[in-house]
Amino acid sequence: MPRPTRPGSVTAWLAVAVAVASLVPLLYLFLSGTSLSDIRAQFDYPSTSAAVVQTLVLTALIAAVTTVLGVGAAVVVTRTTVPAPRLLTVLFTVPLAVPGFVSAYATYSAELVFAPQSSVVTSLVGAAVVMSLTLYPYVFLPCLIALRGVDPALEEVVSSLRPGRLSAFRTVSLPALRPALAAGLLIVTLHVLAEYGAMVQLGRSTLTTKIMAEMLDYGDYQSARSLSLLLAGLSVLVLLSTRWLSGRSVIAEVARGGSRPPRRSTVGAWRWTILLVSLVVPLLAVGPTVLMTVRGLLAGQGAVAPDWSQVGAALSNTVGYALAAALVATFCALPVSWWVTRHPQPLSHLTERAVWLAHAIPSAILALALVFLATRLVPSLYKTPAVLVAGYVILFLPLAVANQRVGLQSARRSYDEVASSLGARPARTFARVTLPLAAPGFAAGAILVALDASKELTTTLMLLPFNSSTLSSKLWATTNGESLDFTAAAPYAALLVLLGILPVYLLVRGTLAATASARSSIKTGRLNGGGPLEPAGASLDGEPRRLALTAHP
Amino acid sequence: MTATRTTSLLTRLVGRAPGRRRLMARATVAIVSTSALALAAGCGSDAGPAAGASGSSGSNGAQTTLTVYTDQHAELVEGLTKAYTAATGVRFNIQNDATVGQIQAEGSAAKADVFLSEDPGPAAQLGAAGLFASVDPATLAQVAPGLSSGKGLWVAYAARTRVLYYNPTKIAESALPKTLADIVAPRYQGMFAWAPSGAFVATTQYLLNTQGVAATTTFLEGVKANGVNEQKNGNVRDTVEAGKHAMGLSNHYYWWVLASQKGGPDQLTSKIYHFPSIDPGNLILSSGAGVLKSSQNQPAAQKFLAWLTAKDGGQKLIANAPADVSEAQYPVAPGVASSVSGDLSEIKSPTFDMDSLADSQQAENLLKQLGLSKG
Repeated sequence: MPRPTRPGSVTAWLAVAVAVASLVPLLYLFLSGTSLSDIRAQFDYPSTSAAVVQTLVLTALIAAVTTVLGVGAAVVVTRTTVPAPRLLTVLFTVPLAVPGFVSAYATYSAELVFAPQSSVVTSLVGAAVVMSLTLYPYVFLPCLIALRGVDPALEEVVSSLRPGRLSAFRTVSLPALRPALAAGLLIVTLHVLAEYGAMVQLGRSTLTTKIMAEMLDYGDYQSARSLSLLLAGLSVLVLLSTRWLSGRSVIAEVARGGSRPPRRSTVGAWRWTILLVSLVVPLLAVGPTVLMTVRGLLAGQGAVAPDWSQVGAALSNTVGYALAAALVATFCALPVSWWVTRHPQPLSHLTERAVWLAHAIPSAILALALVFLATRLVPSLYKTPAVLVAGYVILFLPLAVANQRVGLQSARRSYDEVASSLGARPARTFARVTLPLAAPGFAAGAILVALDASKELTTTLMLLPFNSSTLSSKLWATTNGESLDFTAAAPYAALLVLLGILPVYLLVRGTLAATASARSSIKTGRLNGGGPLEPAGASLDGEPRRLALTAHP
Repeated sequence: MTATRTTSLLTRLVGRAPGRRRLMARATVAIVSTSALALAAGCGSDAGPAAGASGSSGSNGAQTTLTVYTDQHAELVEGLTKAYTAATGVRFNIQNDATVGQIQAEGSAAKADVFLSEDPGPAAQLGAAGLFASVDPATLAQVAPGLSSGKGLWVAYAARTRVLYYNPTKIAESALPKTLADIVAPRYQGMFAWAPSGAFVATTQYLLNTQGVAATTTFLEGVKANGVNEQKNGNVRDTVEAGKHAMGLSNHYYWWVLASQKGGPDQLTSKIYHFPSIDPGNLILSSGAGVLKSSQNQPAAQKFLAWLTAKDGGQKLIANAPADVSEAQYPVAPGVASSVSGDLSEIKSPTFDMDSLADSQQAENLLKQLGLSKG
């Protein structure tokens, strides 16, 4: 390993330490035994290769559908004159608040209630659509930021040189979109690879459902671990291909200083049609959950009232664990995201990719790994919140890293250099220049970690302290006969969704605010003919985040 | 104190790094672990004794804390343990959704004193892995014969049975198959749902043990050709109730749970059918309780199992609890009947050695070969 050069060295070592720590659970796979012959033996059964094929098909289908939905939604919100774009942005993001297994079961139940003879939800395409509806916001959000950040001046230049409605989009916006799309698709595909609860409910057989069946139904943990290695292999392919997708393009800056918000296509009378079609997406995504929860709450009247002290304890634990996970993940992600943005080199990229791997194995395997390691290394912490929070951090660290990268890239390296040339020490530069600019990205990462931690079930069940509960564990405890019971579960489902809406709102508000400040600089920008309007330092706030998503050396 | 410990241990993982680098690794880890702890300290457990308290118990009931690992319905375990605490003062740490894998991963640091399974499988597995101590013979004697481990490694404390659900709007009771084997007859083609659950594996293993590979394979091929795999027993219930399928192979309690949610059995369209004579379609499957060999609380754990299986203890509770708590599972002490689903002794299940289901590898392999496995 080459010794990293000075300014990065502390960060580099911290980053490597974080990456190694997040890879430690994978060690468990090897320490407790895996074998290639197990994998071979599994492939003697026709259903195994069928499951692998189905995993790949589902991953591709869901990637395609989330791309269409995510990019489409982002284009509608940023590039058309559709009414109420802010409200639409919030609505498009709301599906993030619903846990995948809840959404899958609600959709399945709703179909049984309203169309008992139909089998759409459990078909391959149906399942892919249901999954896509819960996952597309992971594509939508980065694409939204990317599209809002593109400098219209660039598009105008292209349009003037090459007329045609789409040529500007293709030449300017699309390259800007690629890294954002890649970041979103990475999260989506790894989610799909590791998803268990929703896949079973939707009647799909994937590598992860095979792994879980080996564990839970057949008690063959070694086969489960061996198949997990295969899954980790698939994840590496995903990590490599999304890296390819993000491309290496860097968009040049035309003008410094103020930039205007992107141009919007005037869609005229079509705007209402577009609005209606747009509304269908979040409606399909959260409609079944809301419907089944409300039905459950109404049907539950007269039955035993929920024990509100238990509900309260579950709520406060959920919030506490989620906030702890968000804060710790933010600190742990910082060296990784800093190193990879400020010192892009093979080793820093490898470190950044490494933190994703733990995200890609089924969370039950990760939880077993943490049980294995915690009971051997820190037995006194096993079954305390510390190990649970550590589990959340390992699982969701990539979300923090990815969003911090976006933030740090908008605080460009040249600003550091300017600051240091003016005599500022690195710490001061970080606190006064970098951090304020990168803050929205940091916040977005922390919010996503908190959101996912509050929805997490599998790891929670295994690592939760004795006699303790969270909203999702309580929700799960009301299951009767492997099926969610929307009467007993309704208060927990409702709280979980309501709790999720707050971070979703914060996330959207942060995104809109960051881009709105860019917009406020436009007016003056126009008056001044697009030239630099203010002293460089003062206009830093108004720096749009476009470069964040385009610079990917 | 714990932070320092974490530091040194994680440093061990990071590896032996010289001087400055090692310091750096330590610093990261220390920062990470202390902040984790500081934050996590704010969100402790709801109630009950803290983790780690379980080892410090004596035989004195008032101070004993038993750690129960279970994959049984959470509300039933909560009801049983609360009643035992009220009666004896023994307190509980409960790990819901526990798996054999978690106990094995814990290794020598295993926390569990008692394991309460839902299906015979996990109990049998723990027994086969040598992790269970023998159950007191007096406890085993409290339970109807043939339901517990033949080797006395675990005791049955509840039971469920295999049943056929049917929807009378789709098929008349008189037209239902008279035996499980009948269901693969051509006249039922496309009419029934099934799920590749643990109970289905157990049925397969029973058929293999009693009828041999050829007959079992023929039956399973019939299921594959004629039935619809609905993945989960809960789905089998819901789809038959919704009229998507005329019949469904499942376990009895799913139906009773739905009935209690809907306000009574008469609120459901579908009905439960037991095959009229002794038949593998009526197979009884036990929930098992065992004491972990590694438990530091052997006498207290054995006492809990004795209460759990006693007529006037756990059995009465299982018998009288409402269906949403008991899941309508049958008590297993002779003479105690479920207020919801009735008396287990009336179920026409073939008698067989429950431990013969411990090793269901043969059934699993056959199901996988035929493409009828789970996952």
